[in-house]
Amino acid sequence: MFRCQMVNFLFSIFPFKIWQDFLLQKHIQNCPACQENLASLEETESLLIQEEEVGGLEDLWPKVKVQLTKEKRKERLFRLPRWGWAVGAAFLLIAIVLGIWFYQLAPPGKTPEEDITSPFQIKYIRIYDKPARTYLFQPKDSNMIIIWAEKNI
Amino acid sequence: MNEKQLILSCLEGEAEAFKEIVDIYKTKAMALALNMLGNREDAEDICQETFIRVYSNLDKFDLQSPFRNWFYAILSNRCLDLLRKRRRFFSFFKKMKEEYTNNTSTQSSSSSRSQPLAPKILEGLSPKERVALCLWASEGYSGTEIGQVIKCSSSTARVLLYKARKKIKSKMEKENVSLSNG
Repeated sequence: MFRCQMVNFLFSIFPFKIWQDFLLQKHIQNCPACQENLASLEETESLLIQEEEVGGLEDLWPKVKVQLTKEKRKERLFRLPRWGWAVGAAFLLIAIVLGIWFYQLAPPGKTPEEDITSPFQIKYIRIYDKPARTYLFQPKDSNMIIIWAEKNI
Repeated sequence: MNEKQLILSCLEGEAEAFKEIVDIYKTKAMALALNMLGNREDAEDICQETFIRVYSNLDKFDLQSPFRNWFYAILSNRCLDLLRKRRRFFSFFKKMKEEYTNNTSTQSSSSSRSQPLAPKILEGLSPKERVALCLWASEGYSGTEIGQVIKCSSSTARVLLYKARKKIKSKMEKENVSLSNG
């Protein structure tokens, strides 16, 4: 009796399943006194709902069949053929190759220096490290341009 | 036809073979679901879902292992999922009930929805303990087989079963004492 109490105490203080199972195997399962504290198979069976008590399941198969038909229909709708992934990947690859090819064919954008629509640009002129007043002169019927810079007082 | 042949026929697309599997397992499944959930409507839904899942995952089943273990694993997982959802719902419902204590009509409607069928004595068990107990008592499963169903080690399954049996015994004794005193 003392041994049973000791085993049950050890069972309750250590929550490790391996340890608890060790105690079960070593003592509890073989001890008639400890077995008395457990519900027997007959007692448990009397508490549970048994197969014989379960009735009215005639409509289960029709319900399952309807669901399975729906699932199959869904599957057919969304299922790709086995080679579907290969075709998809091939199309993607072709699209990438074509994209790169078209990109290379397109004329590259011009930099401002190369833009011939503006013959020349002056951002600003500095005199003695200070921004100067700048004037541009172009005489009539001439291609000559005169730049006049004046110290900003 | 044995189970293996039925499964092979199902894999070939024969619906009638699956009907036979449903016929073999429907009462077993319903009994386990009822014992787990304590509610007929939920148990029927879970059984239906389980059979559909079994059919759609039949190609993943290993023909070398026992079919009933695989079947019960799916069924018990569905039951455990539902119990988890239900626990979340009831904790939410409890909060709502606390906020609206005056509204008694909602309380009565929800309690009538989940009329328990399994005896109250099983309510003190954790869901996994219930599975272990049901499989042991109804199917004669050993600790190792229970472990295969609920995806745990055999030692854990044995401990779960031991705790379930112990809890039930002490509850039975308490009820007997209270009955004899009453």
